[in-house]
Amino acid sequence: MGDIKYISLLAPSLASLSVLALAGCYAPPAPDSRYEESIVVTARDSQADFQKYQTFFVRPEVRMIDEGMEEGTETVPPVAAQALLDSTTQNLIDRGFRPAASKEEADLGVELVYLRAVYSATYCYDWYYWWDYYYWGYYYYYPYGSCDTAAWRSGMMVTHITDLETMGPDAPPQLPTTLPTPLPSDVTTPPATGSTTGLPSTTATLRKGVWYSGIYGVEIDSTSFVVSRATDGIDQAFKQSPYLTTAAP
Amino acid sequence: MRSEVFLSILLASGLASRLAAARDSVREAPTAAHLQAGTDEPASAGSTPSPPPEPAPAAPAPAAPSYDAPPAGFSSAPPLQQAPLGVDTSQSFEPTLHSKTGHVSGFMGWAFNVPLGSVRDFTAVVSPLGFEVQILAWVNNQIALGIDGDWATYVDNRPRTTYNVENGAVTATAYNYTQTSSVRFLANYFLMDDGPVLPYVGLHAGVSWATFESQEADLTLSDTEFSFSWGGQAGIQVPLGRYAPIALVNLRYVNTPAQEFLGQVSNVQSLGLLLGIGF
Repeated sequence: MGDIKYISLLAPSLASLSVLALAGCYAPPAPDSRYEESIVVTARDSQADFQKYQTFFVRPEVRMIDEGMEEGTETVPPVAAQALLDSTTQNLIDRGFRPAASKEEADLGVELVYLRAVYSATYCYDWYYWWDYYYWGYYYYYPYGSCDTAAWRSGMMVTHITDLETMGPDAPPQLPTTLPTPLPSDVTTPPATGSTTGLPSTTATLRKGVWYSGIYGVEIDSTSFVVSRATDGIDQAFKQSPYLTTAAP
Repeated sequence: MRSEVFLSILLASGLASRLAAARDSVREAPTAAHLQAGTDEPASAGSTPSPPPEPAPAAPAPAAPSYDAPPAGFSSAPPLQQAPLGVDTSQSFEPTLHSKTGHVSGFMGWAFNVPLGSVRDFTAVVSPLGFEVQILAWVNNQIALGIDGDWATYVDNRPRTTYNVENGAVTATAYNYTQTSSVRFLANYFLMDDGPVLPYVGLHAGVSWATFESQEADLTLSDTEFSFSWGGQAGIQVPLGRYAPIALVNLRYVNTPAQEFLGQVSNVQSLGLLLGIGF
């Protein structure tokens, strides 16, 4: 009888092992595989009325931000930058905006920034930004709303569009009354120009951001590949922002 | 004294003759084979030589007395055995059908699930990451009611897609994750009440939770949805031996109509294959 029981249990045991072995061959995809293609993030100021803007001015160089160097001292080589600037300009023209001869004549200011190596966390704040680099960092997602996490990535091409009508002494900075705690807490936020705390100076001339795009994943060594990915990303950023259009003049 | 010895010898001889007569009557009593043959001739009895069977006469001799014929005034007695007797061996043994009513069976097993419906746009791959525990109570030999709990996990990398978020959008390859948990009541009807394989069909209804998570770059969007669930199932139970467990193969369709996520998922359906073992 003992032998009979042993044989009877052998079959289900082998079947169970076979099922477990089959299931064990399954390998779920790795979460990091989602970074293999470029990522395009866009965000807007929900209060902005894009229909009222008619003209824009694109800053003629692409600044490069690297945590290991003094900020604002390096720019993307013109041969690469020009393709990115042209792509951005053409997309805005396609949306009905007209290029202005200078920033003083423009309704919108446009700047491209390449974040080459930025690893620190920074503040998450409502976004006021223009020529004065009070903030050397940009929140990756949701630059217009409150948030409680900040994650930085390197190799990201960022495009800012700011409302130049807010420029001038009659337009005081509208800093948020409360700023979230920097994350992670042990990271020392680099001090911004005009400030020793990393926070923008309240006397600075700040401009209100109305649109943001971030193209992550352009950090490949080949310049042509970077440009190709970045220009594709710029096109995608406009494509996924159908609201970014002006009323007919 | 002499008279007492003589009496004892006399009694002993009388008992001996009676015992011999009794032995002869037992030896000639009809056996099963004897009765089956329809004759009162005894079967071969040990070393006693039996005469060769005589050929049957063309017509019964009218003068031959029949031992089966009842005496005048009496009716015929019923035969000793109505049905023909078989040889009592293990080959002809048929086990008694035991009632399953009230018995409880428990199963557990690995489940492979195929997502169907709109959830296939979110996680499309077949998942072997499923597990189920099931308890059945037999109402009778063909109907079993039960309850089960199962868990299934789906993981999939989706092609680059644009996802709308609050005041913006993200275009990225999404790492999507769905986990479902269900508790349901089962009703199975077994097409056979006994046999080496017990096929069945059934219905189920219950509740289900689904946790959706989508990761695009650093952005993680997640939600948990609760829904009523229903569906049907079919399968087989295979008793592996008298003292061995029961193998279970179950194919189940599940529909949870009220689980939504990110505008991509409006319901969760699945087809699951359960390979289980139980008692």
